[in-house]
Amino acid sequence: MSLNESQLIESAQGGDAEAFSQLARRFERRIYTLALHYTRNAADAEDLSQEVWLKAFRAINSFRGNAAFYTWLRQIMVNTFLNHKRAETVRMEEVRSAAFENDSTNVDDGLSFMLNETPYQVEEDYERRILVEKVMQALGHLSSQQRLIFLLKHREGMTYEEIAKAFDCSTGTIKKALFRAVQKLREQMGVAPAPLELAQCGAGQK
Amino acid sequence: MHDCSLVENKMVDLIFSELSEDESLRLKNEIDRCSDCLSEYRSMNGAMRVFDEAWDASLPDQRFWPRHHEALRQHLADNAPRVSVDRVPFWKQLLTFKLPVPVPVAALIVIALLTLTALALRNRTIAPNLTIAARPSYETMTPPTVKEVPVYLEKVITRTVYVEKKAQEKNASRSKSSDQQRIAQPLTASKEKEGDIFMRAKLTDFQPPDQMRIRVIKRSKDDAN
Repeated sequence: MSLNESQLIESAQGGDAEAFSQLARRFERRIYTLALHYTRNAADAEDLSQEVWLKAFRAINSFRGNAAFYTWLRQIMVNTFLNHKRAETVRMEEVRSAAFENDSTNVDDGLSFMLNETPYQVEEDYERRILVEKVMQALGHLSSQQRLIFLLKHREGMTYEEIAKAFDCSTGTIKKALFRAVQKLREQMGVAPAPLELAQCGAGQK
Repeated sequence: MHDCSLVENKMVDLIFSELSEDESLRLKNEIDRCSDCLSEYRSMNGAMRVFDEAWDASLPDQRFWPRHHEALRQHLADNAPRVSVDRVPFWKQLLTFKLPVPVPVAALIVIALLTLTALALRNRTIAPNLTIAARPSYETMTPPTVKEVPVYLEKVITRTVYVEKKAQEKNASRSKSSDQQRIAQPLTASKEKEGDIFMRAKLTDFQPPDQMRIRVIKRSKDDAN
């Protein structure tokens, strides 16, 4: 933890909202992107990430500096995500409209990466949109827990033990959930195992 | 012996870098030797690659972040908790207060406290026994007995009696009447109004009853026996 960060934390613990928002600036992209893939909806992601930050601000006095600030914040994020009831509702229609009806006036949307594109980029960007939609749909087929476990493992790089601690369950449960999440994602994204032109395995077939 | 299902289970560990370097190498060699496992592994890796591509593609535009931050800043400012609310209350500070005490001192304090507690408990157990012993047992008491004992009491009664003069004179002139008549007159004379017509009577012949019957209820430890 840098000195500046510790100073900001100290100020935030004294009730300084401006100091806390400066602190939030360092991690807000990370939190928002995770929220976006968890909720699969830009508006929900905005609400959820704000909720995480607000909860963190309210609990900032409980931060003792024993662990890194982000580790502490991540636990709040996990709890907030799991309690976010609306995350269960799959609202792919909104995602679709957000992805396809995006124009220069709709800059509030989190998926506004398609702005000011050149004619050359149109086709490429269209493919990207299709890809994003496909992945978001695939994520929608996971349970909220599987989705969060997968995101924490794959994007946050947390260990099985860390996730198990955050979820208050065994590492075996996390491992199983992760395995199922990967299998489902692979099926939904249409990445089936391709037959290889190799000698078939003679020993121990599935 | 190669087992595809076992390898598949470990594949997740391999993909998410949960295996040590040696284990990873060993598993990769085993996967390479089996076409099914290799196909599975490549498929899983491919899915992760597609996911990562989509992740990058889904990230918001750079212009999104200043607005996002401003909205967050505003949200925090609007909902900022009051400092006093989050301050640790006094009773919590008392509960979490720590005073470093050397181990021997702490041990002595503990022993002293235990001794005092033991003494207090001992006194508490003895005291009720004493009070119980001093208190008479009503259940074992015999009922009180009544005995009549003769009591002789001598009492001198003096009384001043006034009688009417005329009546006295009349009485004097008359022959001496009976004792009973003399006694009756002063008793009635005392009720008359005072004045010259009254004179002091003598009670020399007044005979109060010399015996009284008094019932005394007395009880002692010996009576009970």
